[in-house]
Amino acid sequence: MHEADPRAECRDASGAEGRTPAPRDWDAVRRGDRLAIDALCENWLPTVLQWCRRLAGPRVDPDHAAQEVFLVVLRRVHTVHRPEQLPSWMFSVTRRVLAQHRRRAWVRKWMPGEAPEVADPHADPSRHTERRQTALQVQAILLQMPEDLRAVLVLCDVEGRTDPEAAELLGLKVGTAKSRLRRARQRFKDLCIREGLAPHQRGG
Amino acid sequence: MSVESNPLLAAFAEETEATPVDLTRLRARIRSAESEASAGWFGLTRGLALGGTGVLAVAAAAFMVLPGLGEPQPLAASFAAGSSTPVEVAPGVVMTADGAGELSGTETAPRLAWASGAVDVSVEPGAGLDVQVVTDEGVVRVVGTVFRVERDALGTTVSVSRGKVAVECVGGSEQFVTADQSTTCLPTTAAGLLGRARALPSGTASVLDAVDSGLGLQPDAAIRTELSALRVDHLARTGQIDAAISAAASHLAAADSGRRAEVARIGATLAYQRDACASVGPFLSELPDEELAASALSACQDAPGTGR
Repeated sequence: MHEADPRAECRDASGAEGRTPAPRDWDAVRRGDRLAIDALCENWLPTVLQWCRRLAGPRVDPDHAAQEVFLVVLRRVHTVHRPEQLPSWMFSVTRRVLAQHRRRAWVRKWMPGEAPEVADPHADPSRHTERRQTALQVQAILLQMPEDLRAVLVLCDVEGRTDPEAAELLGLKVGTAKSRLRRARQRFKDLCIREGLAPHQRGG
Repeated sequence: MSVESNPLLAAFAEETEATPVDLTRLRARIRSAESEASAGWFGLTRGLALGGTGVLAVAAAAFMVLPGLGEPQPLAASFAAGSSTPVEVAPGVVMTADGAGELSGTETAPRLAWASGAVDVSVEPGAGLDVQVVTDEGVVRVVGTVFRVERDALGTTVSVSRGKVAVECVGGSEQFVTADQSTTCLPTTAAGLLGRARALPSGTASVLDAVDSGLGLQPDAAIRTELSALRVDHLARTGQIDAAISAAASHLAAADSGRRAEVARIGATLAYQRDACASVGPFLSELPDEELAASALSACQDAPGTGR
């Protein structure tokens, strides 16, 4: 079983982050310059899509959610005052959109007729079947965790962000983020044990 | 990075990573949704079956247009394996898909992100249609033609039945493919190139090209082991004895290489055939004792410089 990191902190950043725009580009974004906004969106596409995939709930289409996040970005990014605020703003928009999608999915569950299954967005012959199976099990476990714990675990242990980065994205103090991460790791570990999903069973 | 400390979360991270095809699909979706919003479309989503029986997951979004607006309708649909029924996805664009992919864009500019399997595309010439098929290996652009895109272990192969298409492989320049011609965009990852090398007929020169391209990407130890061992095997099979011996020695020189006994066996056998015990030295220490004792190579154990 995976042991919680005794240091209980995130380590090196993954480098997957969208870049913070240069001051001149940021001015252009705030003026509504479409080219500058497109460039900004392009930088954030992978990060936002990955957030949606990693944090979405059951019956939520992560592609659809990511699309909505960018529609919000296109409409509202000019309201962000400083470029340093962009990552946490982007993350909070993503969380809000995902929360809306989760609510809609919950409502759909009670509607007559079964909600359509979301098409598998990852059908790719080069993907390894066993790894995919493991990932689906991990996702099922993550979805059993409270959203706040899931978010910090994904940011730190899936995306490899540092404590200060995770704290900034979550709008928390670093100490709070650290203690939340400790709880998230413990919860993840407990759930893995309960579900019989241990790394050594997967050859890890 | 911390993800490496937990293989479960590492597998989850890799599996949920965004690929170029995913990003292309997302861009197309955003553009469609944005044009829908700015043109004043009312989104009226309803199920629209594309294809015949056995289609696993096809959900298309159709949109109602405000009176007086002539904007092209956005497209959104998924294809899954199991259908070969031609479907007119937009006026003048017919797709016959047997595989997995996502359709987006608009009815005049359909975008198909193709993941696996084969899709036949027929585009009415002269209708001003801008059709693109995107895979991890490249982009096919077309204005009026009939063609097929097939994605498997060998890469993405584009075959043209009628007309002309422009194919731009990832990392390459655009080339035109005309009727009765085909071209293949190679995989762009070391794992993909290993898959290609294994899928190619044994002994063909393309195997070595795929292996060398994969090794050039500096893959991790597991993939490098497979590529390097395949290289040794290929050189031996094609009679390139000196190169095979040299490749086997290089393989064993890397401390983290696997398949050591297998590669040593090839290297020792070829070296022994070439000049008896003189150059088998680097390989003997990797062979199991029983195997060595039972072979002619046992005579080399005491030869000077064999190192065993």
